[in-house]
Amino acid sequence: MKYLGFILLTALIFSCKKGEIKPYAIPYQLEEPSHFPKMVVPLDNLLTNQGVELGRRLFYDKRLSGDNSMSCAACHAPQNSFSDPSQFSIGIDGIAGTRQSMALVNLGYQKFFFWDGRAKSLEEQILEPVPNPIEMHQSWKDAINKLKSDDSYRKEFHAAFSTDDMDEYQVAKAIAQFLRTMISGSSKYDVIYKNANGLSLTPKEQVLFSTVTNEEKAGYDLFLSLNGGDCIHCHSGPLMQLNIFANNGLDATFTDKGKGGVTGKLQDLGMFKVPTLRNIAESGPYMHDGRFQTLDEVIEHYSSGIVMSPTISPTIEFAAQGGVQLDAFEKGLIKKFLLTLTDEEFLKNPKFAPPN
Amino acid sequence: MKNIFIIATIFSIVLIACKKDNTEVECETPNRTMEVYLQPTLNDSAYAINQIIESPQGYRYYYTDIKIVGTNVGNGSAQLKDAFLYDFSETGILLTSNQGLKSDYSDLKFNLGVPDPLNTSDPSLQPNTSPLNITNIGDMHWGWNPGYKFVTIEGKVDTIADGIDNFDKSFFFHLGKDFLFRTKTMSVVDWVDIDANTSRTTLKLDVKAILDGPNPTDLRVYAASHSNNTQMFYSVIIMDAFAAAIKK
Repeated sequence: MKYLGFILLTALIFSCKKGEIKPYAIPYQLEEPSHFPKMVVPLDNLLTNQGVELGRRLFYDKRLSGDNSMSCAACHAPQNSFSDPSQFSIGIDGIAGTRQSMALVNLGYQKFFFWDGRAKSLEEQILEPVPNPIEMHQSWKDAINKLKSDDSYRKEFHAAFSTDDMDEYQVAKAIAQFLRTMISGSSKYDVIYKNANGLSLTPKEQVLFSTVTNEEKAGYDLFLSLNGGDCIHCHSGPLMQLNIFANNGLDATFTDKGKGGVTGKLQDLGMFKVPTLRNIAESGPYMHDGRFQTLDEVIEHYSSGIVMSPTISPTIEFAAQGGVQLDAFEKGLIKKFLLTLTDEEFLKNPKFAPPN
Repeated sequence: MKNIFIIATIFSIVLIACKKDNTEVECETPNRTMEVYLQPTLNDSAYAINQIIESPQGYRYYYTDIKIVGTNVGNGSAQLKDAFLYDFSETGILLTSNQGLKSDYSDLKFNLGVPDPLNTSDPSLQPNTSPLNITNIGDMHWGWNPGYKFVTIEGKVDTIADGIDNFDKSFFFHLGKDFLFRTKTMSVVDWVDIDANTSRTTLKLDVKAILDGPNPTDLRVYAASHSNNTQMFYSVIIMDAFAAAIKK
């Protein structure tokens, strides 16, 4: 009887707070770079230590695929900047997709997901690959049954979500929690950006900034220049991308409708999500269909390979002449700058590696 | 018996605490949702993205997008909304909405643009619920130029007068920087009651008046602006025309 008051009070407090962190879970302390915006985390999926760790385990668990051969990391491998070095990822049945696997980085700051933007939340995105017949090809029911047969998972789900009856939505939530912790903001570019915007550098960042070469600085200037690389209409800011769609002049007609396939609108044909350039040197091949194997090919595309089409982004200002027409020296400078976007701290962060 | 009394007391405190919150919300909530729409129009009919416009200058063009970053929607004293992002092609014609009292907004005033020094502050530091936050603003902030783009209009122009739809040239005007900041004021705005809790006013944006008004812009000659100094004279013309094209 003497504990009844305490129990009742606890129950009432937690019942008043709808969608809050569960009583057993410890809030995760997200480390966001000082020059980043504050991440908007869904109120019904706040980050917890238990949720993040569960998400990491699930991300690397091959049992989410029909034949237990493929985890999320198969197409988003840490050694490839959480992308796939193949042009198209191959599913468990040997079937190739039609789009390049997107690099997983700074996803907590994104507004839409997939190249065509069809998912509006990270949780929604994560629900797709498991049942997709050309990817992991397993019903969620079967995947959940496999997880339920593992006592350790039952304990971890209970710790993260206070549930004894896990489902696919909790799997998606856990993986989303893990992915939101994968923040890249420690590259040379970050100190270049902070310095250029008058933001103070930490002692560690000052050391990094001292290693920035004149060529990298010149490459950055050229990257920004409207009469140079003219890259900034789509790639700028701390995330090195804008949350927009664009048709970047790859094709005159579209075998892949991109966003237009989702919205059905003519003006969206050939429009794809603008990806981040973070760790770009490590995340090839490039473009939604992985048509370019190297950064040199990408730079050449914007220099001389732009193709006009009805929906080409108007901000590709020099489209009519095929691109920005860089000479070899300028292309080299742009490439030097792009390499500053490699964030070794992120790529080698043990928190993002497979759990023991 | 003593324990039962303690439990009952705790119960009451918790319930009252919950109830108080709800009551406060009810008391503080103004009575209506006030919606401000901005409907692009062509010859007094609704304009659709990609709809072709015949220019009196002898060519044709169409818009692929019209966007506005605005601030301080209100009547000058009462504020309906501190900031908004209007994106015609992505989110339609809703300019902004918020809870408010209809009697406060018979006159309507808002800024096309972001006032200094907010304009040049770090967009990453804006509240993450604000449209001015860098993750919400899309391409309406210059990472390389100071501040926000206040208005962008983008589209295609057919420069070859051969009767065929060529639309061979893109145009874009990205209008920002302090010298292009404008304030729009409209008196005696019509608010229509949509339902018991919602009132709406629909402003019009005459899309033909933006580029084909009293000071027309020849898209065959002037097709791009980043609001640089060399582009100032026609950037000002277009911004003024844009502001004037917004009507009750």
